[in-house]
Amino acid sequence: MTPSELLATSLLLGLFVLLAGCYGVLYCLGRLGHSVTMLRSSYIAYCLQALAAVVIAASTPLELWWKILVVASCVVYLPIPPVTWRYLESLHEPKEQHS
Amino acid sequence: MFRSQQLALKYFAAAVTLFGIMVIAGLLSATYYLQDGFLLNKLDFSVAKMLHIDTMIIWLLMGFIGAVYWFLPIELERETEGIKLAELMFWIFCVAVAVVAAVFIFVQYGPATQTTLWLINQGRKYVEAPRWAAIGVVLVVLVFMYNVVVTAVKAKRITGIMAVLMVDLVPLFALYLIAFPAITNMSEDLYWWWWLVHLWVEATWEILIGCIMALALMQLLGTSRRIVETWLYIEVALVLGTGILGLGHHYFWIGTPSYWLAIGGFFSALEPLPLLGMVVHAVYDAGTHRMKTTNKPAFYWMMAEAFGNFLGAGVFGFMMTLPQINLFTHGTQWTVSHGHFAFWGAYACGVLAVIYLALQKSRNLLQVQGTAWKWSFALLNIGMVGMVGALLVSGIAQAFYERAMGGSTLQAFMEAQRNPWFVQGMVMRLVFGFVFAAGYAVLVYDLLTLGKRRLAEKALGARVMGGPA
Repeated sequence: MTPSELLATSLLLGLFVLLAGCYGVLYCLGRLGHSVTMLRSSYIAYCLQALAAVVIAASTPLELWWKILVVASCVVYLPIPPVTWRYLESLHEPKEQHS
Repeated sequence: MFRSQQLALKYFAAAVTLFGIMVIAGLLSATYYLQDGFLLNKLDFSVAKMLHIDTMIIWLLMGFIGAVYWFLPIELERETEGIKLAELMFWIFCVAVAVVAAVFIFVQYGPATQTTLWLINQGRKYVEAPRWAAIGVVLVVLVFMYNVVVTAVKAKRITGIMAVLMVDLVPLFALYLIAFPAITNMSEDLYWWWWLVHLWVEATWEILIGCIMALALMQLLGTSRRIVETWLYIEVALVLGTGILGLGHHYFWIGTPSYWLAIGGFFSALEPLPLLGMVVHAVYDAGTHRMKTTNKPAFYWMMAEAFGNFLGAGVFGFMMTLPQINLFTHGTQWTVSHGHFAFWGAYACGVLAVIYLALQKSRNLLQVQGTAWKWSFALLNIGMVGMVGALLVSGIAQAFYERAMGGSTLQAFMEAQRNPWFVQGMVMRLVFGFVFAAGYAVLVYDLLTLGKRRLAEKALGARVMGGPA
C-alpha cells in the first residue's frame, strides 16, 4: 500500500461510517418532523455511503475479504434507522395510550 | 437523602478532582512534544503520560461507582447494605490514589526489584499502580460488588437492570486480576493484558454505563422501565457480540497467530453498527421530548455521549481498524486521537450527565438553570473535537511519512516528528487542550455553585431592596 493509498483508504473508511451517521440522524429528523425533504436527504446520505463503499471496493488496495465486508456492512446499515425507529415507536406505544 | 447517595456525591467530587489532575497531566504531556527538554529529569514525559491515563481510568471508575451508589437506593427503595464499609472503602480509595499519585510524581521509578513492584510501580501500562494499591482497587471493587448484590438480594427486587449490573460486576472484578501476574514473555503478557484493557473498556464498562444510562433515563425523562430494560438487553447483546471479539484488533502485531487479523478486523468492523442504533435512539428521545427537560445539562451530556461514542469509537475507530490500515496507524497519534474521542464519548459524557442529575436532586432544584453549563459544555466539546482533530492530523503525518514512506525506521520516526504537519498538529492539540481546560474550570464552577447562585442573587436582590439578607 502506497502512502497515498493508505491516506485515501482510511479517509474513505471514516467517511463511510460518518455517512452512515448522517443517514441515521437525517432519517430520525425526517420522521420526527414529518419532513419528506429530510427523509430524502437521509436516503441521499445513504446513497453517498453506498458510493463510498463502491469506491472502497473498486479503487483501494484492501484485500477482497475486507472489501466484501465493507459492502456487506453497507447493506446492513440500510435497515438500522427504520427498524430501530419502528421498534422504538412500538416500545413507546403502550405508554402513550395510557397517558 | 440516603447515605448511599451522600457517598455517591463524595465519589463524584473525587472523580471531578481527578478529572482536573488528568487535564493538567494532559497539558503537560502535550507540552513535551513542543519543547525539547521540558521538565527533563524532573518530571519526564512517561510520568506525565502515566498520570494522565491512570487518572482518566480512576476518575471514570469513581464516576461509575458513584453513579451506582446514587441510583441503587432509588432502584431498590432501601439503603445500600454495608454502607459503612463502602464509606470506609471510599476514604481508603482516595488515600491510596493520593499516595500513588505522590509516589509517581516524587519517586517516579525504582530498580527492577520486588520492592519497586510492590511500592512504586508495577510497570504495566495503564495499570502502573504499585501492587499494594492494585490490591486496594480489588478490595474496593469487591466491597462495591457486595453492596450491590446484597442490597438487591435483601430488597428481594432483582430488576432487569440490576440483574445485568450484577452479572457485569463479576468480569469487572475478575478482569482486573490480570493486572497482577508478571509474565516475562512479551507476547503472552500483552495477550492477557489486553483482556484487562479492552474487555474492561469495550465490554464491562460499556455494560456498566449502559445500566447507569438506563437508570438515568428513567430519572431524567421518566422513560418506562420496560423501554430502558428492553433497550439495555439489545445493547448488551450487540455490544458484547461485536466488542468481545473486537479484542482481536489489539492482537494484530503482538506476536499472536495470524487468524486474529481476520477475527479482529471482522468484529471491529461491526462495532459501529450498534452505535448507529444508539444515535437513532438518542435523536428519537430528544425529538419526542422536544428537548424539554428539567435538567438540560444532563440531557445534553447524554446526547453528547451517543454522538461522541459514534464519532469517536465508530468513525475514528473504523478509519484505522482494518489490519491493512492498522499496520501503519497503530501506536501513532492517530490511535491517540481515536482513544481520546472514544473515551470522551463513551464514558466521560455519561458520568457528567449523572453528576448533573445527582446535583439536581441533592440540591432540590426543580430546574437546572444558568449559562455556565452551556459554556462548559461548549468549551469541553470544542476542546475535545479540536484536540482529536489536531491529533488526527499529526497521526496521519506519522503514518504517512514515518510508516508508509519511511518504513518505520528510527530515522523515519525522527523525521516524522519534525514534519510540519506533525508539529502543527501538536501545537493545535495544546491550544485546544487549553480550551478544554477552560471548559473544565467552568464545569467545576458550575458544579460547585449550581442552585446556590440563584439563592445568592435572591439574597443580593433582597439586600438592594432593603429587605433582610
